[in-house]
Amino acid sequence: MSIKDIPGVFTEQGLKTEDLVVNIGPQHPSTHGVLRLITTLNGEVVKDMVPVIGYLHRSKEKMAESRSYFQYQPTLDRVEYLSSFFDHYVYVSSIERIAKLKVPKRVEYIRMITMELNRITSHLLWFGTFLLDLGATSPLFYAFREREDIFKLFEDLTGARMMYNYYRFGGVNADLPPGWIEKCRRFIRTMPEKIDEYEAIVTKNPIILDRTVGIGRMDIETCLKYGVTGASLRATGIAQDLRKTNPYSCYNEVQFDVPVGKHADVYDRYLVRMAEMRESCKIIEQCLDKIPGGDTQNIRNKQAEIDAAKAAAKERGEDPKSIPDLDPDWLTQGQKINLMTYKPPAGEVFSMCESPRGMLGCYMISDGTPKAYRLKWRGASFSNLSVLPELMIGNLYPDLMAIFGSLDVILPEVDR
Amino acid sequence: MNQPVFDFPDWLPRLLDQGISHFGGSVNWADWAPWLTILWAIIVFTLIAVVAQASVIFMVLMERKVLAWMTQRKGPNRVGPWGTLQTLADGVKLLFKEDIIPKGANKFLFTVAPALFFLPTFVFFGLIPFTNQLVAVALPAGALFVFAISSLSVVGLVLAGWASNNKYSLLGGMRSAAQAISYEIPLVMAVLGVVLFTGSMNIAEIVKAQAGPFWNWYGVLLTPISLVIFFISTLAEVNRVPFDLPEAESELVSGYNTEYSGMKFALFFLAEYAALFAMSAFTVAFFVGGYFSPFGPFITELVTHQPADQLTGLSQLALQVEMLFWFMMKTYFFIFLAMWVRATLPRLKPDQLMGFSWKFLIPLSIINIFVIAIEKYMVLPNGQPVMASLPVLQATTVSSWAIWVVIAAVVFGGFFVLMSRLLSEKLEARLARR
Amino acid sequence: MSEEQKETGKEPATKQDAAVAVAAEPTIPAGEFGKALDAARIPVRHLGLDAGGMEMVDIAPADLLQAGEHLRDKCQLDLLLSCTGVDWKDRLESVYHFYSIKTHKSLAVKVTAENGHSPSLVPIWNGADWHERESYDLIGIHYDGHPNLTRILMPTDWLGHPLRKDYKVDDPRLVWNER
Repeated sequence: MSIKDIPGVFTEQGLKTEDLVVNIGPQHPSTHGVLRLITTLNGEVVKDMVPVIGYLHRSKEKMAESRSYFQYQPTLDRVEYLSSFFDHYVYVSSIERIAKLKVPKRVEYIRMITMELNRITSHLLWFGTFLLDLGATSPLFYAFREREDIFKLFEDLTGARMMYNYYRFGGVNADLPPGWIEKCRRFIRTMPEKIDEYEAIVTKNPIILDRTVGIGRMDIETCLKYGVTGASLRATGIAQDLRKTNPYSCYNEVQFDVPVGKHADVYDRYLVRMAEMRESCKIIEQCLDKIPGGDTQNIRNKQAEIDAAKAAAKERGEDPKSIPDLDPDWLTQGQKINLMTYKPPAGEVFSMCESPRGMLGCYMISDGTPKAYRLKWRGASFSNLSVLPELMIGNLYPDLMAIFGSLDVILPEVDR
Repeated sequence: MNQPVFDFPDWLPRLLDQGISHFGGSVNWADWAPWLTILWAIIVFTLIAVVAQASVIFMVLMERKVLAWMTQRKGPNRVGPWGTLQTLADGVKLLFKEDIIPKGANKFLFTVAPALFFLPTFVFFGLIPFTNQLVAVALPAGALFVFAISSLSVVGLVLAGWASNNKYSLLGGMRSAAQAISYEIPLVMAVLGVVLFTGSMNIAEIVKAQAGPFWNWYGVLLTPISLVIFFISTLAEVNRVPFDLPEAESELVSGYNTEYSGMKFALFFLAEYAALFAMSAFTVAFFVGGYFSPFGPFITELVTHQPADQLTGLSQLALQVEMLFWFMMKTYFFIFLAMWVRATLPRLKPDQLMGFSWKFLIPLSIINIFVIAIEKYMVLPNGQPVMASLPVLQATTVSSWAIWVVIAAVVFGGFFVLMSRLLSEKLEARLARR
Repeated sequence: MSEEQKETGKEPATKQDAAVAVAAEPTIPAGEFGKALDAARIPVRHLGLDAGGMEMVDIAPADLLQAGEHLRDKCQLDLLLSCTGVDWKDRLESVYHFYSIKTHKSLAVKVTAENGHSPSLVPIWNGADWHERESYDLIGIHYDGHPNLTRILMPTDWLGHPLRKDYKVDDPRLVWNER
């Protein structure tokens, strides 16, 4: 009688083992939202993974059909709380394209500055939580230190730290406060050395390298088949960035590079995002230098001069209209619109922008009434998440945290 | 060394004599010696239990404060001055919590597991030589006993994971068993070197053999590699980052202690810190000279101009306090080091963990044993052992010390540069290989 | 840039009707992808450009798979951005948006569902999997050939398709808190 004779212990293939079906989530510290992964584990190897989403479905698209265009705007920040400016941008630019609204250049520059600052905050949060998932607790606090500074800037500008509701159709809500440009410039000058500080503890760390190099490789075909965009696609070597390939806003007037990776593993996605933060700093500096009108105090002084000149002309009996008005590119609103009862003409458009997670799209069908007929959000995280089972099956369970963290998935965008 | 296991200091019967003669009696201490040893053991154990508890309570706060300061925060500072009553508040809160036992869990094992995890750690405290007299039990095979007992706490972990009726806990328990087994071996082999040097497994003896200034300590000059191996294995045995896989918060939601609440959770929590304290104390005892002061003579000796073994009464008490002070300073330095490592490093994956232990630490410790054997037993042609005739140990004038300091700086500096060069080459190769 | 008005979506009955219909409405010029599809003899209807300059075409369900393969292989539209379901009051429509990584151009393809059924593009683009499940879940279009057409955002036992215009909110058949 040997060990092989004990019933139930050995099968023809060897020692009998059982697969363990584990539910990761929906309540879990690391799933970046409410996501349920039904995982079948054999020891530490993942044999099957089925994501279940929909826990965060708030029917944003249906809400758009029962609210006017302006009434819907406050909820836009919450479609994806980390890239609220980007969600606002695609929505507002959809309406501007359907209605052919004029957008002054100053507004475009303000939008670019705020969007790039938002990209930095999103990437900082991604950085902190990615390392938190891997077990390093300190970088999160360093990243949040910078986020605090950016939030202070945003609070000066829009009144809110996170849910901004700043863009309007054809313009922005209010002009930059006087002195904001200088504050922003001072902050941006210190940012690259802070990014160096973060990289110092992570980029050459042997533990991080062992956990991320060669893990979660995604070749180009997989990316394209699943519709993966953003840093994950750029890590494969394709320089696909909507700001360069299909420039919107005024991105074709600023100089920046598109960082690409080579091996498309988790480490490359990390490097790409850190490089993107540096590029954002460059863009913001250029925008701050080039913004039409400069500081708001400058514009106010100019306006006061023009008003005084016009009053003087009137007293002299000349036509006040002979004095030229302020440069229309310096305004913060293209044309006067009554926001509450605004009715764009009938039309449809699919407008896109490059959010920190990938290609964010808004498909809007308007039928001439004050409420949208159909509004569809193409969130980048939706497609980025669908590739997760393909990456995980056959890999070790602790790799899940590294791979899932590197995909930068935010669940509210997946579920809307 | 036929030293009795339990021993009591000389002043104990004298002190008791004073008390008893006050009542008009006298005792023949020769007959009552066994009872005295037991009395002394009880006294010291109680003292140590109190000290250990206080240490643990302090350490919980210290960890939170240290981690906070390293991440530019402040840590708890509301409850009590500088947050000192925070742990007390946490303990009281945990006491008041409902004690939940999950349905389907094995009630007996679920309740016994925290105790099984906690008890071996407290047994250690009796073996630590805090000062030359303040050691509860000086076992002749103390070093062996320590590591034999520490394996018992792993049983508690695995039981906790299995008895919780929870897949996450089960995974945590399994991982902890694998980890503990892998890191026991380098742990013991590091201590083996020290035992070779001393010629005894009695921990009090090992400390006494390191008497003198800091270059006599084993971990400074003779086997720094052993110290490093021991420290790393300690972190692994106590389940601290980077080896905290069993309780990996972001993967396993607290691993083996997911289902525990209230006092049972408090037991796990405190036992982990108690184990850290005990292991740091052993690091100090084995490698860093225990209670000896780094300058050589104790401050008390310098003040009273008398050698240590001739001090009596108050000055003896002052000497004991000073020895305790040195011991605690060094222990808390290693605890601080463990917390510093926690704030800095991410977590290792299971295969990385095992690979690091089996493929790197164990071969390194085997080589280390050979080196130690050579150091101890190799003799020069003139019959003198190598280590005793090291020139640095015979330097007397300031200029020769200065030369040796410069040589040491050059050697260590060169070593450091070489290691970092090797490391970055390895990293580049790793990056290029993928 | 013109927007097509509400159309009937019914195929013309005879060739004569077709000719009359074609002669009656103003002809919309074919864009780049429309021309490529015409050259491959896949019947499409050109819908001009949308407000953002993206080309739109309408393809019948029967020709969708063939058109999809042609678009992916010959026109280099390798990225499927999204699949949207739209509930016009008299018909259901799926709108696919494609993007080309190589030429940076995009295309919108509209497919009117016949009896609520439409072929699935999963054999050609895996990414259509989740998007079509969402469209089925919220609008109710059945995608034939989809490997796993189940609800994705709503709970699996939900009744009705929420994004339809005739969807009744607070349906008393669905009582959540008693579950």
